[in-house]
This record gives sequence, C-alpha cells and structure tokens, in this order.
Amino acid sequence: MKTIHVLWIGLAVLLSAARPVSDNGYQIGDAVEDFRLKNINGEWVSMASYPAAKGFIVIFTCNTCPVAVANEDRIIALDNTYKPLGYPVIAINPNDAGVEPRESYEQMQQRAGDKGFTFPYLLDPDHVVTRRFGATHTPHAFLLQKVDNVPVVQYIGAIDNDSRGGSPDTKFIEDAIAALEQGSKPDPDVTRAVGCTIKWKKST
Amino acid sequence: MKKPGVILAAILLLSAAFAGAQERVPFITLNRLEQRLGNGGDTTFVINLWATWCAPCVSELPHFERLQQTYASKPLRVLLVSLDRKEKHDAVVNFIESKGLKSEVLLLDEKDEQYFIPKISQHWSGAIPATLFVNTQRGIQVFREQEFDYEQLENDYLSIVHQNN
Repeated sequence: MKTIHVLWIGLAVLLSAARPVSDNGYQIGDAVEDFRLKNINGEWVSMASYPAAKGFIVIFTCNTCPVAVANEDRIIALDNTYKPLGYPVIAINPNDAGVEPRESYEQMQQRAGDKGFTFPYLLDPDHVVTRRFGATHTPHAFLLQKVDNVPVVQYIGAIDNDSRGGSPDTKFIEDAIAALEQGSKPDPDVTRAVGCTIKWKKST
Repeated sequence: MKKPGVILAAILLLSAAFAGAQERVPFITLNRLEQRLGNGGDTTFVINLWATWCAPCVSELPHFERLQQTYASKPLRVLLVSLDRKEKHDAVVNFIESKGLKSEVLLLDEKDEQYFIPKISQHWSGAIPATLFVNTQRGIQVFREQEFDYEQLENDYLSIVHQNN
C-alpha cells in the first residue's frame, strides 16, 4: 500500500508542476482588449458600446452543446438581474459553423429568438476573440469589471456549481459580482465545469 | 395465496435487472478510480471522459473500442468514464447496449466539479471529450483535452508503452 501512496504522491507532484488550465488566454487581473463582433441582428457590438457599464458578463455559449443549452435560462436570468446593475451579458458563439452547421448565423438567430435572448449573441469567425480569452468550452464565463474605464478579468469559469444539473447551491457569478460591489475580490476567482469542446475551424 | 409469490418474483426480477444494469455500468467515485489505477502495476489505463449527450465523444468511442480489441493481449485497459448525471444511469446503460459497446463503462459518482476536474488533471478545463493515459508503474500520466482519430489514439498509447522505465 505504501508504494501505491508514494506513486500517487509522485503523480501529484508531476501534476502540481503542471501549467494552469488555459495558459493562452486572459488570466485574472488582465486587461481585456475591446472587440467588435457581429450580433444576430446585424449590428456590430463592442464593449465601448456600453459607456455606462461597470463591467460585463462575457459568456462563450452555443446552440448545440447540451450543457450550454441547459444554462440558457440561467444566462437570461443573469442578464435580467445584472444589466440594470451595470453588468450586462455579452454572449459569444465560439464554434465554427463549417464544422457544426447548426451553429450558423441563421441558427443562432433562430435559437436566440426561440429563447428570447435579452443580450447580444455574437459571431466570432476564425475564433479571434475566443482565443484571446482562452475560452476552451461552452459554456465558459468571464466576469469583467472596469478599472479606470478598462475592463479587467475578475472571474473565469462556471455560472454556478451545478452546470450539468439545475440545482446549484453556489452561484459563482452572482457571488463574484457581490464581492466586486463590496470592493473585494471574487473567491473563488477560477472554477471549472464540464462542457463541450469548442468546434474549431479545420485547418486547411 | 399466490399473490405474495408473484410479488416476490417480480421484486427479485426487478432487483436482478437493476443489479445487472449496475453491473454493466457501475458507479465509481474518484477515490475508487484512483485506487484502481494505483493498483494497476504495468497496466496502461486509457480513461476516456465522455457523456451520452456529447456528440464528438460518441463519435470517437469506436476508436477506443478498436484500441482495446487490437491490444487485447497487452496490459491495456480502456475505461469509458461517463460524466452523465447519476440520474441518467439507465440512459447510459441503454446507450451502450444499443451501440453494442464492449469496453468497460463506468459512471463517475462525483457531483463537485471543483473537486473532480482538477483531481483528474490540472490540465483539464472540464471540456469533453478528454482522455487520460495512466501507467502507475512507469509513473506516466498524459492528459489530452481533444478528440481523437484512431491513429492519434494508437500513437499516444504506443508512445507510452514504448517509454522506458
């Protein structure tokens, strides 16, 4: 038994030396560059379009991932609650419609209409903004707060602690906004959740 | 007077069916899974994290089946660990029966993602499909958050087998 434990400690040491989940994208505390992406209504959306916002709830979500779909009502509820408080939702679809046709612009319009999305649902062709954020799956949320008018990443991860089901007992994003509003930092500031891999464009 | 016997038979049948389903797709906690891997000696475990609702996971399952069958005589164990919710156990059993899957299928009996995701791998964001290769005796642990085709999967497996102690 002792050998097994030693081996596991060995593995744990290997693991702890490992890099963080997403080392390519924004980390907590990073300033976020503005983007300009096309919304399903044909208009272009950037963070500069919201001069009065205190921050943003940026969520990478899509039409086809069952976990993302199961979180749509929660995303709508977040927008309804926090847009008036200065933290509107901006949803971005990171998936390539060439790989998954049900992620097309038309299907996004359809889905948003069916669900009554109250927030922009943006296209990110070529995954430019997706890669900048380091989003890895849907749904994947980033809470930003403006510091000296520049949006800064304050929380990355799941909406709540029951992404696959619907009965969370901890609501990470709500708690994170409450912390920011009290002048403190979100804790936890990074969480993980089961979700669907992004459908990356096939390299030619 | 016949009734209690019928009811008893029905109960026995139902519980046998339940035990059968449990047997085909047992629940497993992360601790139990780690014990299993720790006790595996020179077995190379290929642990595929999947779910019935995950389309790319479902489409790569045949590659894992093929790997297990191709190297049936080797110390290779493919474990298909489902991340479907516990309540979906029946659906998982039906799914694997309808697909005729031969590999060992387990349903992860863990709810807390902040616990089990980083414990399975620090590299794992939670996105599926994802696959973990473990060989305890060789101290090897390789994690891949990606979809596989058969050649990639076989290459990853063989590169572990061919590593020296």
